[in-house]
Amino acid sequence: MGPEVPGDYMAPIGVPVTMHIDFECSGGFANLRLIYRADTAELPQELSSELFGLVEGSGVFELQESDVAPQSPGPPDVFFYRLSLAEGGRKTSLSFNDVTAPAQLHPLLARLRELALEQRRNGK
Amino acid sequence: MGFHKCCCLFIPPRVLENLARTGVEQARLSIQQSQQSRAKRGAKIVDMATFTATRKAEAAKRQVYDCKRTWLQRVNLVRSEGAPASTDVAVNDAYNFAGKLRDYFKKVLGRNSIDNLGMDLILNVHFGLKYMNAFWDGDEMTFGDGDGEIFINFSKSLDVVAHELAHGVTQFTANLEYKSQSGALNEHFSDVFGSAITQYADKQTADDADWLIGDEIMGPDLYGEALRSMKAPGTAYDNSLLGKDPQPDHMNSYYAGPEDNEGVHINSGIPNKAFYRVAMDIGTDKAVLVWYAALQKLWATANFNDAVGVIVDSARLLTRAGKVPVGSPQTVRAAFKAVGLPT
Repeated sequence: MGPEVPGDYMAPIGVPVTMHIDFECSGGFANLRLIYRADTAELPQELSSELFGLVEGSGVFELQESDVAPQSPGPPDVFFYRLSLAEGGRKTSLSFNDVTAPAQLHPLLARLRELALEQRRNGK
Repeated sequence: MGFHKCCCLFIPPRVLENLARTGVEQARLSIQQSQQSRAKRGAKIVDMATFTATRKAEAAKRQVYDCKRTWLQRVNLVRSEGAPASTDVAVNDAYNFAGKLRDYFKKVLGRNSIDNLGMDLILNVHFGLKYMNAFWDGDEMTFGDGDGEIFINFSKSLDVVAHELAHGVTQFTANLEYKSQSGALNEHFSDVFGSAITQYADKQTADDADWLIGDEIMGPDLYGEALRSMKAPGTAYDNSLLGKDPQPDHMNSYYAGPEDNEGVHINSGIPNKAFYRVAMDIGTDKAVLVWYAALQKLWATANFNDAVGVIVDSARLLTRAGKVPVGSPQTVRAAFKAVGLPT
């Protein structure tokens, strides 16, 4: 079970529901490097819907790089993230860390980390 | 102290660094003060007494907050200094370990908490959902519960809690920049204190110790593995989930890539191995005295060669003061030579 989806996402009628996700989480106390790349069109419907919901709940498309980009290396042991999303006419590409990411973004990050580990467990 | 002030204003940082490398103490202090001032200006609002280091030294108090699995710090204060034990194991672990760390720094190293002015120890537990990490953010420590499979609660381990608190000590001393070699030194000093404090608390000698970092937080999927080995860098883990431990144990395997802030958790294996060798020779308690003295003399952009020079110099001064055995400078030099330093 992933984190709670903040509301069921409903795609606008007539718009193809696909989103490309490119996620990387690195560093931390354990120096992990987790990567998850997916196109929601290729995911099970339930997971696709969950990810759309988490993306909407995170407000990630409203964030500006300058809002979240770390100003210096560190602080020590935080995770560092790169996240690119493309959905219809919307695109975003951000770099941030655990401290600079707003709280509402973290449920999405947690689920993407979980999916990256699931892929690794399955040998992908 | 006119020179000190003039240094901050007129002498270019690069020149100050070179002066520090040649042993000019005032240059080192000037770099350190400028770095700390910049860091504080860029961080949260700091009261003037702290900023000017005129605040009276007080006893550090512990405050443990339960984040209640949200992504926010300081959600609910659940145990303050002197309060009875909680029913939550993670809260008590964080509280008890922080007490051991505070006592260790006070009794063994004569340091009054993180900032040497009795700074309170703020610990956040149950941060986020399945968050597999712990970090120091410049003001406080934060611990996740892990996913329960690969990692369990990060506050369960004394060496993890000590590692994070030591990042705070580094911030208030050398303030090593968290990238490349200065960042690897930052990680190294945290591993040194993490391991040394664990040995002190468990009444172990360098011979008895396992020299592993993070072994207590490995979950059932990776039970028996660890995250780093100071004794044998590069051997802490090797599995399909985490891959293989990438730490080198010698400069000839130095990682020069961009990942991990240019290898801060990777290249720390090289000085870690040197510290292990020194501890095996003169004892962990004596080796820590040397390293702690050096940490107070290093500066933000110090590299591995700088660290070797300052650590050897510290060993010499402590030998002269009768605090470490005769021959310690030679032991330190030999330990670094064995890992390919200085280059």
